[in-house]
Amino acid sequence: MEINPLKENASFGKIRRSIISSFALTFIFAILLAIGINLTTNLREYESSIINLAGRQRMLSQKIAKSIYYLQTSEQNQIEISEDVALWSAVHRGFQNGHEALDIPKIENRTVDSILKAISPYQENIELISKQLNLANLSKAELRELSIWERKYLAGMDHMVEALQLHIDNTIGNLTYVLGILTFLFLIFIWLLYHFFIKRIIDSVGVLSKNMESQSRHLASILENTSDRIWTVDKNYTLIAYNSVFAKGRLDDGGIAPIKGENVLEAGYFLENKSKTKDYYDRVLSGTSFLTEVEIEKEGRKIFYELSFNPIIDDHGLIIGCSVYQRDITKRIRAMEELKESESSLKEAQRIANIGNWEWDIKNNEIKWSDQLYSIFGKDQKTFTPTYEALLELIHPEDREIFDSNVQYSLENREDPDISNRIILEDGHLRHVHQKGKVFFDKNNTAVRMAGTTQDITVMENARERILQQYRELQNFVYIISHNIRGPISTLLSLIDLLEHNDNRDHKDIILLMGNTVQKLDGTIKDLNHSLTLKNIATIDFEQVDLKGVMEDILILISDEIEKYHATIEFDFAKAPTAFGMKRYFSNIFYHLIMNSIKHRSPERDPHVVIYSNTTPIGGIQIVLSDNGKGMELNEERRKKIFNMYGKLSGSTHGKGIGLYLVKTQVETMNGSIEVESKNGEGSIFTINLLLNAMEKKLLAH
Amino acid sequence: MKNDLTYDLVLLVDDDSVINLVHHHIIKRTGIAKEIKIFLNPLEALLELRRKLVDNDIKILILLDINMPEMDGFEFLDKANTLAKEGKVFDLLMITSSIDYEDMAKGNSHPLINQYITKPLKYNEIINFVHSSSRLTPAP
Repeated sequence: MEINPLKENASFGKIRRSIISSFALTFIFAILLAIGINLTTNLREYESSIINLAGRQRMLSQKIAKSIYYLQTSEQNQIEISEDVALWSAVHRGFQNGHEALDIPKIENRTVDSILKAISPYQENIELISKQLNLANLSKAELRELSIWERKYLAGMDHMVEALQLHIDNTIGNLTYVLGILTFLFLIFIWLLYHFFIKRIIDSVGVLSKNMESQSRHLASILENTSDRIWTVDKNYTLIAYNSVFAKGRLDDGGIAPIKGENVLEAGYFLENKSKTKDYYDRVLSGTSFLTEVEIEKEGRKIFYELSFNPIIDDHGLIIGCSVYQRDITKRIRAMEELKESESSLKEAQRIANIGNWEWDIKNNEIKWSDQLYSIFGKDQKTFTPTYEALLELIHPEDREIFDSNVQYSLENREDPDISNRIILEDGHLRHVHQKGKVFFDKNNTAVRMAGTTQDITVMENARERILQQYRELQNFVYIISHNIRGPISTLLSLIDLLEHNDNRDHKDIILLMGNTVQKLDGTIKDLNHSLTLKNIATIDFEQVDLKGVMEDILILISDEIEKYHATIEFDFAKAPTAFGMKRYFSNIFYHLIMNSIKHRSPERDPHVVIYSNTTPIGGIQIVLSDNGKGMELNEERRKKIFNMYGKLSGSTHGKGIGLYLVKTQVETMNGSIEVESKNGEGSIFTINLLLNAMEKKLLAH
Repeated sequence: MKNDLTYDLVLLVDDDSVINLVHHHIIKRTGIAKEIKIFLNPLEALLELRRKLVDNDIKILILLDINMPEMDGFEFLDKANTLAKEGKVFDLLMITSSIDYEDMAKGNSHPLINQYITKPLKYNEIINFVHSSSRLTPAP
């Protein structure tokens, strides 16, 4: 198989070089041929003129001889003879040495030279005779000699002509031969030229045109296989090429199909508006590639286009035009708008629900948080990078381990995690969050990704806690009814029964007991009544409670008891004048604590109660109440029991203690704690710690 | 045969003296007790119980209140349980004003409690109990 280098790598450059080479070769060959032909032609002309001259010389020789003969017999012009002889001699010498005036070239022929040499003595003799003064009177011998010379000369001339004729014939023969060879060579040359150049040029052109055709089909396919409008314009704004989408678009837009060669500015095909259209073309024709988005209103609908301009540059770096892509990006813009909208609704929804979503790339330990999560966890998006470890750090220490093991369990058992835990914010505030997720596995069953939501359920948790507290209060109330009211009533019933069946006992004693029991019942009911009254004092909402105000109300309420037992009550709320909570709770707390102190007073001294408030280093407040009552030795069991429903500090005083139970419940409702210290015979100290801080205040207020 | 129904000692444990007085009258009227002792403080009742149980043949009935300041009825039972483990047996009636179902369930399921009685205690309730099979120390 022949490998044609041009076929492999056909290009117009190579073709051009081949054509130039073959033309040069042809030209050189043609010049050579022309020179050859010219040379032979010249030679022939030269020899022909010599032959003619020789003929004339011969005739002139005869004429001279005849004239000399005639002169012998008749009057003849001797001068005419001498003129003829002069010419004749000149020609002869011209044959020998050339003579420019007579236009006689030197004969370069050895045969002719030798002939001329041989006849030259005859010529000289004749010339000598003709110069004799007695030319008219020549002797017979002289005439005879003249005749011999003349004949010899004529014969020489004839020989010369013959020789020349022969030479010409030879030359022409040679010429034909040379021309034949030249023609043969030319044919070979033409064949070689064809074989080595022309054929290849033809092949290359064939390949090239085939390639070009294929390429142009491919290019056309590229241009057609799109919904973009594509066209090119030269630097005079003349439309050069375009794809069918462009043509169709133009038809749809204006009803007029584009025409190659039209001026795009005058064709009324505007890219945004008339002036912008020219600006765009001018900009790209100044050599800048650029992309721009335009908005066009068509039949009341907004259409968005992306326009891409690119200059077309020739081999010399000159801008010869530009190409333009026009792409309809309306759908993309709409989709992006919709996406933005849905993103913002999602954000809004997350904000409202206080829920955030996350995605955990387990392999790379990268966690992506939605904006709301940063606000739930109280972190700055710019400075905090969520990772699993960072998340664990945020989780309440008590929940951390269980959280981690829940997550590990989910990963190992392919169970979607559902975890509620507490987190601690940077400022120490506590939040309850509920996390739900889904685990994603790769084809090797390795957990690679977990995604889910985290909802801030602090408000719900707090509400739940409050409901629980209220439930406890309600339960407490049931207990009060059950024990503190039913107790005395059952006692009364027993006493009545006793009264009916007892004969040998003094009825008076029983009636006295009945009286005592009724009084106790009355006390319990009074207690309850106080609680209910206190409940009505304040609203249910948490607020800054003025402790001094509450105290003053209480003092009025219990003024009877104070007077009766000679109690003194001292209070100082200067260091922490207010506490955040519910006013009625504080009223209850103070009421029951003071009543407790009076109830358990020492028999040896009048009751004295000191109450003061203070702030704590962690931002809460502390309320301390101390008395000089009889006190008691406390152990763990008793410490707890004091605040139980039936806890009492002394077995010797009657009446079930509901007060301290209520106090504890209400302190706890306000996220506080109460502790007691007591010493037998010296008194008791109750310490209330309220841990409320600004953030919790807000949440609770909410 | 009447003697079979009697107890050598009946302990009344309640922090309310009126209740104790009433119970004293009721027990006395049933005539099941040779001796009745009243305790306001359950600790003292426990001590008495320990003292008396040394004598193997003695038959004891305890009327126990649940809610008492020093020690509630269930605590009393826990302490009394250690005595029971030593083979000392006694009958015990849990007497309370509580109508709380939780307390009642707790009382009914306790192995040392023979019966759970809601105040006020009635004469017939004692009589019924004495004749019932729920007595741990039935007549020989």
